[in-house]
Amino acid sequence: MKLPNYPAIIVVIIVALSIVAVACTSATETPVPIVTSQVGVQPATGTELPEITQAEQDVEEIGSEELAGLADEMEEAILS
Amino acid sequence: MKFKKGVNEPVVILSIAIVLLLIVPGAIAQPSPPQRQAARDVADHVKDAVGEKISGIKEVVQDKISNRKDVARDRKEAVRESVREKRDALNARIANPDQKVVGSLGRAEIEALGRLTPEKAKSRIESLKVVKVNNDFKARPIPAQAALLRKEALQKLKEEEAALKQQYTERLGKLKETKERLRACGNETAAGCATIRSEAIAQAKDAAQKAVERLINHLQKLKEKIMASESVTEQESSDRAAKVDALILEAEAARQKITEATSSEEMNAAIREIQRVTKKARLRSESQAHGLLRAEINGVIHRSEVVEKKIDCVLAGLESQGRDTSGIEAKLSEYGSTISSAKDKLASAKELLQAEEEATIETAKTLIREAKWLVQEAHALLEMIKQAVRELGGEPCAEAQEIAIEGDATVTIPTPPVTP
Repeated sequence: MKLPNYPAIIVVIIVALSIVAVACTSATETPVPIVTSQVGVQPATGTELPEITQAEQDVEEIGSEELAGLADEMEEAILS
Repeated sequence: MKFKKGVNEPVVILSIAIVLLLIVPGAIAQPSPPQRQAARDVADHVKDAVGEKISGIKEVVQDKISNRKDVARDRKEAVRESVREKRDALNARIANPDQKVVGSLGRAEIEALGRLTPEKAKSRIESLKVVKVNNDFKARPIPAQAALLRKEALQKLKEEEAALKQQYTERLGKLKETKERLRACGNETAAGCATIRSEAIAQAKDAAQKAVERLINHLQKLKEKIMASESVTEQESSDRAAKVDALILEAEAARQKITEATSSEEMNAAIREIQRVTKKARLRSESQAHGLLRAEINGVIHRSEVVEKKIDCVLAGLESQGRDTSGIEAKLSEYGSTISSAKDKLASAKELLQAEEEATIETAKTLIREAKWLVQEAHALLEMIKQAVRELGGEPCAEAQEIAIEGDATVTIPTPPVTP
């Protein structure tokens, strides 16, 4: 059986251990600040503002265009 | 190299690696005495050199920090000076403006007033009043129970609307059939034709009655929406509702004409009157609906103004801790300009919505849409500002803030923010 290249394996292990050590050090270097303060309003998830979206839906629901159709249809009720 | 049978090769390799890791630094750290002295000398020399270098760098960095702080302070002072100047200019242009109102105006409002003529600016200031509110501010808060009742009433009207539409379509369909039969009669005076003629008048009356009922239903729906809005003031709500009531009265008068009509001519005149009132109601309804949307956008602006003031309050605290807030100040300035443009558009739209021409109302609708986009943009900016404040470790200003709002708005009792 051919023997494995032990020195190379040892070097690889040392390098791997070094990388792990460096990673652990950098992870503890800069702690993430935990900010519990709030300025007042819950942050929005996007640019759409729910109250404006609702108001736009209200405009749709009022449906003023329906009246335009009604006025036109009334023409058919005119007696000749 | 060969291992004996039964020896775990990887364990041996790992053990050698760990031993090597421990031994090599130890071997380096244990030099012979002369070497040790030489190493100590070199170390001292390096230490001195590095020490000098570090103190030099420290001085340079401190200078840079100090310069940056000076620049930031100058920039902040310039922003504040600009707001102060605009406020002073406003005071100079207008005779005896209410100082409480002027003092409570945010960046955006001062800029917007600066663009108005002195008369318009004065009238605008006179229409404002100062309220101390929180960021859940509503111009006219409606209790939950009342809001629920309004919702139910609206739902009922919507159901009626669907039924009325169906009834109207059926009656109009019957009338159309009768009109066809009448057309076949031509100018004949036969008894059968006279009956068809009477039938047509009765059916036209039925269809016209349903048309008026649809119109009134629509106007009542509009009125419910107005009464349910928390973004219009009590006075504005009453004024708007009164205008809708006036239209309902016109529709009722047209209905009376239908009831009284006995001939084709009288029936046609009554139908023409319904058409006139319906077209007028459509324009008014369009303008009212967009007026409510405009008021809602204005409400968002007012709530943003409260947040803006709370951020100003946070910034004061951060500055006293020596934090650099110049970036936030710059963003606040950008936010102020964006809101100011939105306010201009909403103010123009308010005037245009009073018009009776369709084209003018369309222009107002465009302005409202543009104002909405600006407010969304400003809101996104405000979110960025809040995030930046949080990153600086900003503490919230919990207390309610003074803002200037239109007319007679009822003030919401400030609710303290929820603290984690």
